Amino acid sequence: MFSEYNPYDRHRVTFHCLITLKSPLSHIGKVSGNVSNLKTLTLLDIEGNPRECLTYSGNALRNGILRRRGTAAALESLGLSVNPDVHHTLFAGGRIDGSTGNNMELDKQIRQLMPWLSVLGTAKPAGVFGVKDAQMVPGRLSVGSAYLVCYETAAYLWEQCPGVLPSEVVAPIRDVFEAKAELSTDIFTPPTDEAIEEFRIAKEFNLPLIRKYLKLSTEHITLDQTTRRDSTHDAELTRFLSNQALLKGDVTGKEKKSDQMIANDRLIMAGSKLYSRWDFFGTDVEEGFIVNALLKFSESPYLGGKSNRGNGLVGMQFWFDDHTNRGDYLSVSGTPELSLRASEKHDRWKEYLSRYQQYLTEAQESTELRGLLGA
Amino acid sequence: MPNLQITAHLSSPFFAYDDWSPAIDALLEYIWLDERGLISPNPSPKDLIIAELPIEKGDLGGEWYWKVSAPCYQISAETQDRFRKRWDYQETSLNWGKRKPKWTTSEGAEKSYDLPVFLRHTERIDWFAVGEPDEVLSLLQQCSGIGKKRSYGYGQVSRWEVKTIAEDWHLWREEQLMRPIPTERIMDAGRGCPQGLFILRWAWRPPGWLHSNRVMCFMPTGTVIRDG
Repeated sequence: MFSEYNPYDRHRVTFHCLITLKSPLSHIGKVSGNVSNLKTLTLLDIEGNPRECLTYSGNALRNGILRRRGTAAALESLGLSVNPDVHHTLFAGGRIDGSTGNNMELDKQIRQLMPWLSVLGTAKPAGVFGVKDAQMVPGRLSVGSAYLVCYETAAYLWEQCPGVLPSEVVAPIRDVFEAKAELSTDIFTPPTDEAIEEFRIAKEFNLPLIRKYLKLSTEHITLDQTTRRDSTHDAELTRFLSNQALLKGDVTGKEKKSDQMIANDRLIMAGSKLYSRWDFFGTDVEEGFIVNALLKFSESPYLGGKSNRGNGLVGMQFWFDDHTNRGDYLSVSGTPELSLRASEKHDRWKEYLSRYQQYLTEAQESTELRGLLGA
Repeated sequence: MPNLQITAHLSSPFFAYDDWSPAIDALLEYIWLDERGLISPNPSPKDLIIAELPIEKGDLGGEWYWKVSAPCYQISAETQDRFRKRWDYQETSLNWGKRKPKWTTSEGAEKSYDLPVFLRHTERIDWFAVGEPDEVLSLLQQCSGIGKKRSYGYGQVSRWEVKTIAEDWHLWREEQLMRPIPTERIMDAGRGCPQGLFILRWAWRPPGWLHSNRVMCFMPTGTVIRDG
């Protein structure tokens, strides 16, 4: 059945993803004492200056949603369980731990039998999939970091997907961009005085307007302070202690250290929006795998940390652009909504899985598949 | 063939270790090979395929090369980000088999990692070349990102631009060397022996992994400008 599936029959498509926060989002970058700071990335702003802005990393989106939930869903559908080496290769991206091979037949076999791995790529370790050499399997999807929709990212968003910006700022940003483009044709040519003056005027006229409609990144931050009581101070709970004498100090006479805790978390506030660009170059079945992974994600749509406190509940909306057509693709917000294209690709994935299940039933002892998965 | 200025308009910072990457000839060769399903993960000299690019071939003392310059750009900022990996062992599909269900995150095969990414911020990268503009653009439009770690969104290209220009700047622009040239071939490059140039062992034509392409080269030092 797999010989009919050509994993090199690929198409290109860009997905534009808008994430709307339904509860505050925690995505920690640096930790300082008991304060968790949010992850930031530097981007060039509309004036060309480096500015830090809040982000949710592409790595976290790619591996959190697609690799973990998507791959788990595929294996569950097929009723497969795998050994720790294969599991690490599928879910953590593997490792190169020996001399690397160049087995194109293996590359094709992996892409035919494991579209999830073809999409996300892996470093196949030595010995895994029944092949002695380690080998890189390049992925077919690039997932960009999700940038907060704010003043600092206005230029980035205008270039990628102006539709996520408030309509009032689209024309002003375009005017600044056009003036900036006239500054220089390459790094060796200095800008003319006229171009500099036009850029200055464009900024003076348009930046206040852009600033009026787009908040600064820092205006999207909310602070959450959490405390944890020392349970041994709770009269209701001390009755469960086996040795209450220890509360008053140990044998050395020192007082018992308190287990009370206070922590400050910075969060991106609910209602904020983040944008991420995904570039894909793969097959229909692989695109269907992405749709399926997103549908699985919609069952529990939480991103980031501290979801046990309800943080990170999101809605996600996708548009596609295959350089010929563009339009709505998929919405993960409450009940998922699929466009015609997303439905068709998802059907291709379901057909593939169905044939796969049939194949597994008919070939319980298939050395090809069992050998690859070590199952 | 006409003289070209090729521009990548970038929307996110890109990850490169040196001032001479990304090389546009290597990028074009990769796209050309990928279109034909000829990319292999770890090729050896016997797998070598020379792409037929819409770029003119130059000749320096009997050695051919693609007529393209090194990347030219102005760095507005250099920053560092990190990327991390950890193994999520809680998936139900894991079967420990005879192995003890135990591993360490700080060492061994399933070690977690937290590694730096060195990022360069620029709005555009230019290359100067001699070639067919439409065909070059058609190849480049298949490339949505450049540099390392594109899968995490670094080096996103918002658009490619290829325009014809009057001058051929792929090798020299006034007294500025524009691309790596083997030290042995410098006299064939028409400007005598330049003084004070940086010398490095470098693949002056793709692929970079091919040992025979890596020779001692005079490297351009003015094609990347740092703010401040």
